[in-house]
Amino acid sequence: MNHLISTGYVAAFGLYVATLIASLLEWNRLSRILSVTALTLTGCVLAGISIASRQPPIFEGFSGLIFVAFVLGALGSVACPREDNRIGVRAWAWIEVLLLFGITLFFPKDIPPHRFHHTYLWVILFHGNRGLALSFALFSAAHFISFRMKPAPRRGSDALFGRGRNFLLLSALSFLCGEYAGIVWCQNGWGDFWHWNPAFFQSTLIILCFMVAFHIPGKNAGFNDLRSVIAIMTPLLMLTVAVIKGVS
Amino acid sequence: MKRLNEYLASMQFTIGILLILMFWLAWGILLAESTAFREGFNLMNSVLAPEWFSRPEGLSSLLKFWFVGLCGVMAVLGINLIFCSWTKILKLMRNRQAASRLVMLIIHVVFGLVALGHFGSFVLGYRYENVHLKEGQTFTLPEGHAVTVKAIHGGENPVMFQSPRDQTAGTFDPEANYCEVALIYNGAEAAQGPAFFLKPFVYKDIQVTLKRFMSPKGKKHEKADGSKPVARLIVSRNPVKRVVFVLFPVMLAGIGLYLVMTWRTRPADK
Repeated sequence: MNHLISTGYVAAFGLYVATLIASLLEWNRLSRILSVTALTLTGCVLAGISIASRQPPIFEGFSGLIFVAFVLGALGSVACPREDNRIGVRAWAWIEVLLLFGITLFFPKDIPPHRFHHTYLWVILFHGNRGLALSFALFSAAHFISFRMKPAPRRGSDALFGRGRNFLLLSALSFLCGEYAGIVWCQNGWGDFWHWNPAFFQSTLIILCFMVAFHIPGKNAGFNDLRSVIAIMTPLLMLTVAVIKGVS
Repeated sequence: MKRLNEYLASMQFTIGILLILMFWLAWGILLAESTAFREGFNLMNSVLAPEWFSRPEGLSSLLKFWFVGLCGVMAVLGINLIFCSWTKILKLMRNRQAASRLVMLIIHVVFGLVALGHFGSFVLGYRYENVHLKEGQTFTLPEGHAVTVKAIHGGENPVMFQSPRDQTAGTFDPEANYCEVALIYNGAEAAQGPAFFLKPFVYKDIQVTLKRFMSPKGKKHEKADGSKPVARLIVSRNPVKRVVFVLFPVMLAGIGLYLVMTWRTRPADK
């Protein structure tokens, strides 16, 4: 099974590289076929990990980031807006997927051992929602990067800005759902829903980052640019936390 | 006075407080990662806030300053929330998009209550970590309560409580490794039931959480003479727990509703 998973992983990685190249060359039909094939392969890798470990593929550094790449790949395949420019939201989504695949190169690709608490509902909801939140935040960042690449003045009424904001809010909602699952898990496992430790502070830091992104005042183009920058930084912070957790 | 009100209700003020909070938590991460303050954070996790300050071997001055500062910044955020809610959101409700503004107001109010509930959990009730009890032993709690371990079944620890080095792929049966506890009130048994891993025994506000099993000698992985293991419990009472657990989903539902209501609109700079 390990061999099959590794083969599928390498093939999906290669297909996403080809998808990005086809997208940049504006071979849209080929890009779409490649992206759907890569998505299917990534799904097969996750299914393989899930079957072999008898737990959802969302916990370890490798499977967790592949799960994020899978959701982001699905969004890139089906939820991207039509654009005129060559390096649009879709291309940025593929770049982000490749970034995730690139990070997973540094994680062990062994089948994770089956663990008792990895089949516990609230633990699954906690990690699953975090993965979803990171995917949505990265997809939102793809919109905001594309928005920032437009010539000034960039208006908040721009469709890209609005879609980016929608996915960022969806990401915040998903992250908070994960936090709720986390506090139930903590309450049942440790008798309290808050602990004074770095993991809790990191989660709160991410929530604050979301709050800053949604509370930046002002209506002119400069403030829209600032909102975009914060919205791009939020998934970077989330990804950093995920990588630190995966490494530790 | 009007200018002060406007400033306290402004989004610039909100952003300033949020940035200070981010700095404060980043500092907290550095403190929690350092070996010098790890013991202090362990104490913060094992007992409630009044004891951090009253115990002679309590928190270091820096940790006290950090915690008080955190509470102070949160209090200022609360003031900003109140002013903002009154002077801005209520005013905007009279204009267009009233429904989504009302949902936004509810989200903010509920957020404030959840934060308040969080703070309440640091100071209200009690918490005893690392309560080691053998079969038949009793631990006395405040307000006339006591907890007794009536029986210990099994005694294996799930892999999640082992250090990464000791973790194996072995299966663990949570239904076969648990303890039966009884809650005593004024000398009479008030309730009894099992405490499993991740499925604590709860009676009213009092929760008995099974943290792990230990050998009678106190060593983690040793059962020296075949005698029954010791249950390591966390006994806690949090009167505001239910408030947080009920209001948090209300906040989530509000955000979800707001997202649906504003998905097609572009509110950013309209």
